[in-house]
Amino acid sequence: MSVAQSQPGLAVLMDRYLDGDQRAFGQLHAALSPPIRGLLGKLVRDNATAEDLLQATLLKAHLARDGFVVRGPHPDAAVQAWYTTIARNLALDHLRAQIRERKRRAEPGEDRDPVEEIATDLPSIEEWQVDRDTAAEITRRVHEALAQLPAAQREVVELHKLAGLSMAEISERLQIREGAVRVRAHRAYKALARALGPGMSLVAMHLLGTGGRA
Amino acid sequence: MSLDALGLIVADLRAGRQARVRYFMPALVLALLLVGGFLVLEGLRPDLWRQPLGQLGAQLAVWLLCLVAMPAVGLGLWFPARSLRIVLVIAAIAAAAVAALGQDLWAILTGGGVPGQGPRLDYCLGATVGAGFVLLALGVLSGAFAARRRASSALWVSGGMSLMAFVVSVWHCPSADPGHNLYSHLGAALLLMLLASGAGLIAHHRQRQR
Repeated sequence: MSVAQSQPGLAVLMDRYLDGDQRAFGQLHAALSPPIRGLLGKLVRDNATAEDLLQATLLKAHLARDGFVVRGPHPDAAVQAWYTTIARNLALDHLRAQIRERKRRAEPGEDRDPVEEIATDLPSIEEWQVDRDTAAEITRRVHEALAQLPAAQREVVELHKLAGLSMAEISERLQIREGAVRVRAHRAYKALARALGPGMSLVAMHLLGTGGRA
Repeated sequence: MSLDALGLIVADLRAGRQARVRYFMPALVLALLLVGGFLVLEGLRPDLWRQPLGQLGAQLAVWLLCLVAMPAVGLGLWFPARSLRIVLVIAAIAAAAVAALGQDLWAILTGGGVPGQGPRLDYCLGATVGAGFVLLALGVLSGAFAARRRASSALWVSGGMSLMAFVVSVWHCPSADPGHNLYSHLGAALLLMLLASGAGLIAHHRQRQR
């Protein structure tokens, strides 16, 4: 998803769309639909569902458009992040609804949370051949490494990796600019990589981001 | 689910545009009645249709800009590209200058000075600013300044109102004195534009916060 770089006019189009310009919405739709569709396809792994969720994303964004505010130094990225957040939340709601439905039917072997099955660029725990004991050891070391971080950096890592918030959401939560959040996250991850070693830190981040809550 | 979000949203935006047209049309008609009533009561200049063609054409262009183009942009009924918006602003300034001064504009621009009356408070200046304030009140009461999110929209509405008050005074006053036309017509329009812009921006800010 690199729309922010390839579509420099997203913020301008959004601004005109918010003022009621139909043509601007058409252009915004054309620019944002492919990457959002791709994201949703990756999350739900079903093209038809992804298409439905894309339509729902656009409608939900339309209904909530009065609340859109550009924050931070990159207006185009803010537009993209806003739509992406809505799409991701809808996808997660959809996946959670699926698991609730499966649990309700009480089908044996079907009670895993599909949220955990979301595709990721990182290898799975199994691929890393991390057993339970090793994961516990890594978690303990991550705890220690996190405790060594300055409070401001630790807060960003916890919100990003533990709470699963996006940089834009963290920026909004902490009332600081998104650029500052990214700087803090970058410094924190560099410090963690130094403390844990590069291989270990990648596994740790994966554990933090999925089931192995530290 | 098979929703067509694009179609639904475009239909919603179209409905919003139609609602804005319905909402602001009475204000536009009322503005026309006010300036028309003023011209009927005070009288049109006797040489209106005998003016040089270029000057008359410029005055008609000003009418078109203040009644159609500028309100449409300010109210969010028309979304021209940035380049076209720049052209509109330049056209408005040029048309107003030609409409007020006609052939005298060239002499003033080429360093011929401004012969005739200097700047002073007179009937035309007062009438232009007065008419502008009535239109301004109409704009504030109708919510025209807050129709769009961007504060610059208030400037388009103020510009339209200022030009309307200006062209009314030009169509009323038959003066051929370049000094009077420069200061009491064009200058009054500029003064009105500054005042109306300030008031428009305040109205935009306050009404958008409600």
